[in-house]
Amino acid sequence: MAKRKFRIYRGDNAKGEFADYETEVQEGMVVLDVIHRIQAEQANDLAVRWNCKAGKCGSCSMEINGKPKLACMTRMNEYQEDQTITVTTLKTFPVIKDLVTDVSWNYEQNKKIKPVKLHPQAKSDRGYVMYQEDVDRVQEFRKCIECYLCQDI
Amino acid sequence: MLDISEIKTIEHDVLIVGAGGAGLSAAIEASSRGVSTGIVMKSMLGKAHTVMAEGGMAAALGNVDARDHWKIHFRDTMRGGKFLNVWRMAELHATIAPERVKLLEEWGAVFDRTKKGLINQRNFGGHRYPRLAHVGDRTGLEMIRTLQDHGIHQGIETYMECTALDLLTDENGAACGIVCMWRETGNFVIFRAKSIVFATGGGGRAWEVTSNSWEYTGDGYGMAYEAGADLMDLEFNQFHPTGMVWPLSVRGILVTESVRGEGGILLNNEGTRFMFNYVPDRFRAETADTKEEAARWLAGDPDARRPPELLTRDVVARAINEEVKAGRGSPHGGAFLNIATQRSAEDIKRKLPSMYHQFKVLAELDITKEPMEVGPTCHYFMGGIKVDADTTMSSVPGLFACGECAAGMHGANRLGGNSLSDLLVFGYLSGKNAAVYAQNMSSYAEVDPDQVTNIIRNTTSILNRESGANPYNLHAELESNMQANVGIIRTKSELESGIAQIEALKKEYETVKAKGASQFNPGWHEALALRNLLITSEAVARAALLREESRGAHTRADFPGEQKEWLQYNIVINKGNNGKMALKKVERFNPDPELVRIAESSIEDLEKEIVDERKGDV
Repeated sequence: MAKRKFRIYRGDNAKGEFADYETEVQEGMVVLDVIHRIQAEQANDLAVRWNCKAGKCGSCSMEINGKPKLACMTRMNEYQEDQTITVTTLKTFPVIKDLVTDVSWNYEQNKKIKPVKLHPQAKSDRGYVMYQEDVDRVQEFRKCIECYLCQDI
Repeated sequence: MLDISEIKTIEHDVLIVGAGGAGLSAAIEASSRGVSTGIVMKSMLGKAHTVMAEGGMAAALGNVDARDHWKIHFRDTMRGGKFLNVWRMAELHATIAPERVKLLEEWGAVFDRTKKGLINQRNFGGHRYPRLAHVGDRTGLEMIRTLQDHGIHQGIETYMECTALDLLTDENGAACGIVCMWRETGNFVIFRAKSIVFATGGGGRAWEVTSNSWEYTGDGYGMAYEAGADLMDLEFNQFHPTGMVWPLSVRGILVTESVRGEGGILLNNEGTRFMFNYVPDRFRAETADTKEEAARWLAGDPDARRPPELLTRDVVARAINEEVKAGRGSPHGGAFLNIATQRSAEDIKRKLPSMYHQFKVLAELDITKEPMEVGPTCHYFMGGIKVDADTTMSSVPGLFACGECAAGMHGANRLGGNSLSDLLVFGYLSGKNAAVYAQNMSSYAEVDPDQVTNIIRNTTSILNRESGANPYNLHAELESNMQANVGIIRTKSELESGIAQIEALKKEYETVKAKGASQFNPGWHEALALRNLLITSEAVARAALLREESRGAHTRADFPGEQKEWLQYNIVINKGNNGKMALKKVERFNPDPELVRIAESSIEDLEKEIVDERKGDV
């Protein structure tokens, strides 16, 4: 257990400022755990998105000490004990409030992606016939969790 | 005074609440029938709980073992559910699941393949044959992305980060709309609809140790209850046997059953493979009794029986609990789950990539070299809104429910893999029936302004009052109460004390205060969700107290074993006329004798029957 220092952006797109927080951090905690603790104890209305807390949903994207990261997969022991951890939104996107951004552009793009059409000749009465070696590459792209970290450049 | 004419109103023939696998399946089916379809969700599209599902979706495709058949899937489901399932729902599920899985492939899901190029299927607890269509250990992501992409091309209107607050009903008590709040602005919106589908998931956030995300606050149960709907089987809460136990901050995060499906074994701190000591009589004839036989099964010997690690979740969770209680647990109070000795590092990384990554990052542990520490975590509600099996309509006309928020399909215990297929099957049935219901209505019902005013007043008073209880603290107290008193093993005295604490929390909730403004205010959102979570918790605890037997996921230390008498009843809950929660024992329907015959026949007889049937087909 140790007290750790955090600076978190509070505000919207027009104006805002960094607020300083100090809180206890236990072994194994990730940055999202600390944000939740600050939220429960000191800043009930601190806005942050999250869902799965296991790196699967891509909701808790933010900049941690200037690097785009998932807060749920960023362990506190990646940082020095005396280091202040600064947390902001991904700067690519307009801020809605605190750590929450407007990512609606991605959903507009989503609509433009054409629907899949499988080749009718691949269809059998047991379903489509495709071999693992042929789907390997496609599956790689489908691992995308839409966290949008890659757009934060 | 509130002027409701200033609140934006949106109309849809069918309105769906919740955008996980069930809600999206319902929306796709409804809109394909030409009705205007909207879907509201608390999160953004594609982030719902379904995205976390790992193992796969169960369907008797017979791609890996051709002996599989819907009858065997149905039998497995009934046995797993300890025969408390709504028979007709289990039948619909087993018969419809294969075609829905194939349709998902048609819509773009890229499943792992067999050598012959078909959808691959893996072994899972309680399933006789390899039956789970899967994509590594990220099947839920594949499912939600496929449904999301297919849905948006079909013209479904999506309303993201929009919290449903309460249902509106017409003068006959039928559902006719819902009041929601945009999380971003805190503004209200009224949806008018001819029919409404709840696909709101479960309520695992009532417990301290859970695999569930923040969204799982029993919203569907709370809103349906307030609108007068019947809830059923709330005492059956599945504790998944394998959640992470260390570090503390990740306690409860799911470790997929696929680890055991791919051969993972459970050990205590003496190195004993303890599951061999916990085989229930019902499953003894179909479970390996030696390590050698289990190893032969893993190597693909069709005559070998399944390893005991693949018993149903209720059995495995209780076994781990027992081992820990007896002092044979792992250092942080769980059991060891080892895949490293069973499979090559390459296999593990290919079949369980997200587990490998999850342990590497969160626990600094390499699962290809070391065992994981795991323990039970609250995972799933078998109970929920009581629905008609064929139409999925609740006891409130015009309100339909599907997926985890509906009751009946899984009985007293759900088999792994039966949830994703449930979403596909019952999402489809809900969408279809809600669309037909809407098409039979000539116009929208009038919205009662008093109902709207009440809902909004209840919501804003949390922000407006001067001071009051901190919603985060109330939630934490509820969690520790449910964990301690309404957990995996239950007793009368603990349940009574649990209920007393819930009553006290309900009182405190009347003064809950959210600080700050209405824009994207998590404290406010937390307080709103608590109303539903308290209703859910009370229903669970009261039903658990009433059911004096142990069946499936509901274990009473003071009433061990299944009681024949209790097989005749479901516990049905609704809001009584005095405003208090009313519970009643409701006698179950007599099942179709043919279904009883299938479920109760020996596996040998059933398999022989299927072989003969198939010969007849040729």
